[in-house]
Amino acid sequence: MNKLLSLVTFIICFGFTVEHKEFIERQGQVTFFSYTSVENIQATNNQVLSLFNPTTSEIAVSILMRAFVFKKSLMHEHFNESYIESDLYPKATFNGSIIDFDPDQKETQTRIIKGDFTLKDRTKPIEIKAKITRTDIGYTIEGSLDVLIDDYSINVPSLLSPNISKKIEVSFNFNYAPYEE
Amino acid sequence: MKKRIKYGLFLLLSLVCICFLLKYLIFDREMKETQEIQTYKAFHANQLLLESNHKNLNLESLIEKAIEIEGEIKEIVYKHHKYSLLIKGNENKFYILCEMQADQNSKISKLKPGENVKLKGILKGFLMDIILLNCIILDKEIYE
Repeated sequence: MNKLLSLVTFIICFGFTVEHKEFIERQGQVTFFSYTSVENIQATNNQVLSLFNPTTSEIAVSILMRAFVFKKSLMHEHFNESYIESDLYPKATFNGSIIDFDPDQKETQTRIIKGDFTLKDRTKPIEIKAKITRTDIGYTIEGSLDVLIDDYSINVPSLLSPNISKKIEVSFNFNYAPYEE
Repeated sequence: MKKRIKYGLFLLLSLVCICFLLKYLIFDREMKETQEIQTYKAFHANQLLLESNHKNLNLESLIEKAIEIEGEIKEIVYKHHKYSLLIKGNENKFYILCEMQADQNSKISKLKPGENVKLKGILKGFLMDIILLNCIILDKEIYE
């Protein structure tokens, strides 16, 4: 009886002190910039999904390509129909983990995230420098990276090649909250 | 001779004007507002979530189309200088995420979680939730 009582007490105590294992961001922001002397192109996606497990340092990101918002409708059309072919490849994904991450550190940590980025069915290993901060409810992760369009078979017609940079600057900002399953 | 020069100048000016007009019409065209786009199909939030979850509905055929949804607001989020409404069905696992068009801000301030709302937005696809952008509020009775 005593054993049973201790077990119940342990479960109750443990249940109240257990920390969330996974954190979710349903509306992360990813912005990309293409700078050329002819034209500057910028698009933002505010609906990026990401899951983060601070215990294992693993991070997964899923980006819906059609959710990028452009200023001009022709840019949106070219991006989805010609460059990314969103009908065939609707999502870009990233799976990786943060190197030397300390989930308990309260100060902002600058760390390298290593993982695989998949765009248009082409997967490349990448390393991203990111800032990770603990918040009241979870974590924020922000950073930037350069994506080479040749690495992901993005074909730009020769007529438009002066308008599109070969190196696309991508920045991201995720605010994670506990994932209630 | 003077007449020829005048004619030539007129032709050149006309060409320049046409070029600018074409640039404006083709290259500088801004994204359409949802109010200007015709509704393709209307759903109840629960029906859309349930059918897409059970693969009864081919969501791909609705992508980039304007759809109407009616359902209960789970959450109103203000993030990245934009409002979004999270619309729930009967299940509390997946939602419809509607990023609102900027001109809807004053209407959103009158909404509360738990209320029913009718929205129209452009379906972009789905990740964990179904994602609609440029959403507008259709339920006028509340505001008039």
